[in-house]
Amino acid sequence: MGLYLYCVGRSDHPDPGPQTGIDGAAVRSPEVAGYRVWLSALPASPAASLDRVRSHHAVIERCCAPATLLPMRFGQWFDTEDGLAAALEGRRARLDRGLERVRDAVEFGIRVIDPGFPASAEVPDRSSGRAYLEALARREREATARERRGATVAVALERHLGSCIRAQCARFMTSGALVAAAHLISRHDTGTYRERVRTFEESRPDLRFALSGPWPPYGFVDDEG
Amino acid sequence: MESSPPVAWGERVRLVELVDRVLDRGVVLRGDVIISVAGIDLVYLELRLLLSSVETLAHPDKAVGDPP
Repeated sequence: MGLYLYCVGRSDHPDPGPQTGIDGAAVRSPEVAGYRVWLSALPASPAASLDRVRSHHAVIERCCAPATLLPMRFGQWFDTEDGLAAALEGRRARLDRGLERVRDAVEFGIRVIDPGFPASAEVPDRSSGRAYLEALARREREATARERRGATVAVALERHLGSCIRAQCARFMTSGALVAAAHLISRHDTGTYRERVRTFEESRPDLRFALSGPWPPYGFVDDEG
Repeated sequence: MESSPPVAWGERVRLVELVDRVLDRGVVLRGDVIISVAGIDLVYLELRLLLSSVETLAHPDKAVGDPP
C-alpha cells in the first residue's frame, strides 16, 4: 500500500481532525522529514476524475482553514514513507521558501472576459492549402492581439489592486476568458481586496469579471516554475 | 437522455477554477508522476458535461442558473 500526499505544513501546523480523502480513504497527518503531512494509504497512484479532484481539494481546504500550508498537485503518490521522506528532504529549501511565501495568505482567482474581443478563429479544414495557411496566419495575429490586450488588462488590474496583493500571476487564454489571474492575499486583506476588485469592475464596463476564492495558494507554492 | 440539473454561475466558475488548480498547479514532489493526458482530458470532459459548456464562462449573462 502506497501513500497519496495532499499537502505539507510546518510540524506545528494544527490538525483539523479526522477526515476522509480520495476514494473515502482515511486521512492521517504524521510528521515526515520535519514537516506535518496529510496523506492517505492508496494501493496505486489514482487516475484523475472530477470526484477525486474534489476530494483532493476538500482535504487541503480543511487543512488550510487554521493556517496556510502547501497544497500538492493531484497525483503525488509514493511507494513508501521512506520515499516520501526522501522527496521532502530533497526539496527542503524550496518547500521552506514556499511555506514562508504563503504564510497567512490565501489565493483568489479572477477571469476577465472581454465580450468585444472574440476567441481566436478556428482553423478551417485543409481542403485548400492557401485558405488553410491564411487562416493559420489570421489565428496567429488574433492570438497575439488577445495576449497583448490581456497583458494590458492584467497590468491595469495589478496597479489598481496595489499593495493589497502580495503577488499576481496572470495567464493569457486563446479562448474563453481573456486573462486568468491569481492573486496571493494576506488573510487580513481579503476585505480590501474584494472592494478593490469591485471598484475595478465598476471602472471597466467593457469587461466582465468572474472572481473566485479564497483558495489554498496552489499558484504560489514554488518560485522555480 | 437525462440532463444534469442546472449549475449556478458561481458554481461553474468555482469548478473550472478548482480543476485548473488541482491538476495544473500545486507542489510537485515527484516529477516522474505524470497524470496521463487522457486522464486530464476525461476530467475536463466530465466538467464540460456537468456545465454543458465550459465556454459559457465567456458569456456569463447567458449562463444557466444565474441569480436574478
